[in-house]
Amino acid sequence: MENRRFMTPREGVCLVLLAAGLALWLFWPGRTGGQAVLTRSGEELGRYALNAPQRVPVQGANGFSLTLVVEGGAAHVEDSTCPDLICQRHAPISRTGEAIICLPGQVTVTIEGGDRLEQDALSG
Amino acid sequence: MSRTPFPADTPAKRVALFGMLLALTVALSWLERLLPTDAVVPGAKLGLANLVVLCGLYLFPLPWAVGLTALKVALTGLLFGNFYSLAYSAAGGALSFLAMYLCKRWGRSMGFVSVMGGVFHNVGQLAVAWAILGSMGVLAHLPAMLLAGVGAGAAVGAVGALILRRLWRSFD
Repeated sequence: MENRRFMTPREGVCLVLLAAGLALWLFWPGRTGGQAVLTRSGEELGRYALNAPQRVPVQGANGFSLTLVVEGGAAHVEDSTCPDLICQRHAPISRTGEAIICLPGQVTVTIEGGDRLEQDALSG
Repeated sequence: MSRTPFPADTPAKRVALFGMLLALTVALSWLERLLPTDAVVPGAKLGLANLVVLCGLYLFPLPWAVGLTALKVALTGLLFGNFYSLAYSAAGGALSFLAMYLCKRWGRSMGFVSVMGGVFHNVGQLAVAWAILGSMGVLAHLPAMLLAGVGAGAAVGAVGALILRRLWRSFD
């Protein structure tokens, strides 16, 4: 017979610790001031410094396109033609290691090489 | 306790319960599209239909539970998704089911089983994203997706436990 309890105290503690660890990982202060690295299907298309505002039109895979916008030290996606628009709704990214991903267009924007310690980590 | 391991113990009862649960996955998937969970974590979903997968795991023998999960992925994918979402749902669903089955076999409680289901659903989806995109950037989403999986799994597990208790009581 399987265990029909909702949760034992010990399992609850384990899961809370797991969640706390993940939250710490998620909100750990990052570094900013790097560059946005653009890839399509794993192939690098270009690198754009976050301190130089610009708009980059991107032709993604499967006929989808989007615009990478760099402004205010952060990068985000506009004008995507993909069906779910998750990339477009993603908040602007600025911390090293952060990424915006357009699955249908197989486009990723990843922040690399930041050297300034973030001032306000929790609001990031 | 005079419970049989699986409450729907005649073919007719089992087929009826299976059909109801399968129909429920479609209803819950539709309901979920109305919820704005996407605003919290981009791409994150509550996984309401996984409620049915969780119940199936406890109400049916393994082959039936696997069948319910596979049909749920196929039906909701064809009705509400596109090719991409189907690929992610399939990988997430398979890994999630495996994790839940193993945790249940291991003797963990329903809440723990459900949380592991939520976490591994997202692990499966990220693995497919990584395979398709070939980009390490996918890993940047790992902590947020895992945390979302813990939260969604706990919520689904709490509701699932309530439903299962009532079902067991009505069958006993």
